[in-house]
Amino acid sequence: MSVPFGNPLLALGVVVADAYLGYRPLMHWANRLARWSVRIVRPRRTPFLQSCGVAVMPAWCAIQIGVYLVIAGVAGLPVLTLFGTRFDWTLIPRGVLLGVAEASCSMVLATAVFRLLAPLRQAQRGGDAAFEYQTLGQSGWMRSYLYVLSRLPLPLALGVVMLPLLGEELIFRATAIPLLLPWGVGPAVILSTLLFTAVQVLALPSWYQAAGPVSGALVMGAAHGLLFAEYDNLLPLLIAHVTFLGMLIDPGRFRIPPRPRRGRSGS
Amino acid sequence: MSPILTPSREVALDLWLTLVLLGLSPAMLASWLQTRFPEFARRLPIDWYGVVLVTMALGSYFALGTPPRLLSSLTAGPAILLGLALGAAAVGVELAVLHLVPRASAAGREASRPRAPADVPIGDAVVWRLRDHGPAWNSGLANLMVPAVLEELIYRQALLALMTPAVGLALAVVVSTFSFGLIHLYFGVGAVLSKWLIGGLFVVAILAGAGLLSVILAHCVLNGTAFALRRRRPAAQWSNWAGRRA
Repeated sequence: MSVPFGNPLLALGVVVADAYLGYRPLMHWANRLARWSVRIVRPRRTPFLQSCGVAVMPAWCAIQIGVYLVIAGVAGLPVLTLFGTRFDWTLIPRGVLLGVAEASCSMVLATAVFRLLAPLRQAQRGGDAAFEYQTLGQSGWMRSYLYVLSRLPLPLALGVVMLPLLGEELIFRATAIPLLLPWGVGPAVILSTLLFTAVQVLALPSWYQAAGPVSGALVMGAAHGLLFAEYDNLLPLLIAHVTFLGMLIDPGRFRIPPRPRRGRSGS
Repeated sequence: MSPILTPSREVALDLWLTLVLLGLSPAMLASWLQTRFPEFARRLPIDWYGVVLVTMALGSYFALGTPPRLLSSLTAGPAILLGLALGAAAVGVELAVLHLVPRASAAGREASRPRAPADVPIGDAVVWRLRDHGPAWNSGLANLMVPAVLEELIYRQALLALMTPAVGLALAVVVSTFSFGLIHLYFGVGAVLSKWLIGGLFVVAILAGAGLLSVILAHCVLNGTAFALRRRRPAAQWSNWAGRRA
């Protein structure tokens, strides 16, 4: 088997750098791109910050696609066959079922972790640990997804939400798994899962809130890593990821207070 | 004849992962469905938990490409007698563990109580239906016995058959028994411990050639006894969450 970049350690460095760049400097550039595009489009009914929260998703995805194309060109990774050589409609329901299974297993793991951590949190800060967890669940990067799912029409919301998830699959499966495979399937899956788990805690207000996303990342990272190592097809993984998010994020509980009307010049 | 069912075809990895992950968490999925679609469940003779288990059982045996095998090395008569004996043993284990393990503290239960009114643990939905309808054939009995049959089909045959070729018999037994205990978390830590022991007992019986019919019968005896004992409680104490009302 040829080793991408000629050196497994270099390949590991590229994977770690890809993840770091994607969630730090490139996220910053995605935010700038989103603000620039919202200033051009000037949506009238949606506040500026919420519009940026929506626009950053396709912006970040576009940047990640560009990064993947560069890495794929250098390392010889697949581009046109990322979603399979031919369309297989059975992958859609199978992806949905996989997402449902991952979500339910993640909920069990998150519940167990929460029950372990709640006494620690209560000892640390006092108050109601369960209520704090439910409130924090609407903050951080989850807020962007909640806003999109609660405010946009469902088909459009799913399309928008799918984009950053595609970016994550490109980083942690399409890039990481082939580059780390010279280490073996097991180490490749474990390393990509650890990276995927680590980035979930970014932009969250506290370690306590990270219990849920970390639990989900552990389950999904392992499952998707194994599947991509076996099949090299991102389509069912992307569908599973969207299903997973749709099950665990409840837009029905997300409420934005109505913005007071200031006239047409307000934004 | 091998005590473990042999798949007649290779199971695709994504399907295998789906079934194994669902096998770890059917009660959680059922709680999620119960919370999101409570009205739909009221029209069914069994709750969402039964629906999830039926789907899992059908999916597992479809993936394996072989129907469930009820009898192994025993014929029907001895299998039934063995099932009754296993059921009595399981009841003894359950009562012993619940007597020895202290119940979760009120503070601990309160700390993990669902906050949103719509959050309905699936265990609440099941016990309310049993309390309101009793062991009638069309509702309470279905909710009592159908999960027993399906859980045995899944955890004592289908999951073992799916996992053994991939991870070996020992790990398959550990994972399926662990999952079987975990799905009873609603009933408390004591119930989880007792189900681990009872699940281990049933798996040993399966590996010794008892057949699925015996463990299904044993589980039905266990569920029926548990229901009879719970009926003796006042109605307000049927739920495991302090202060909840149907």
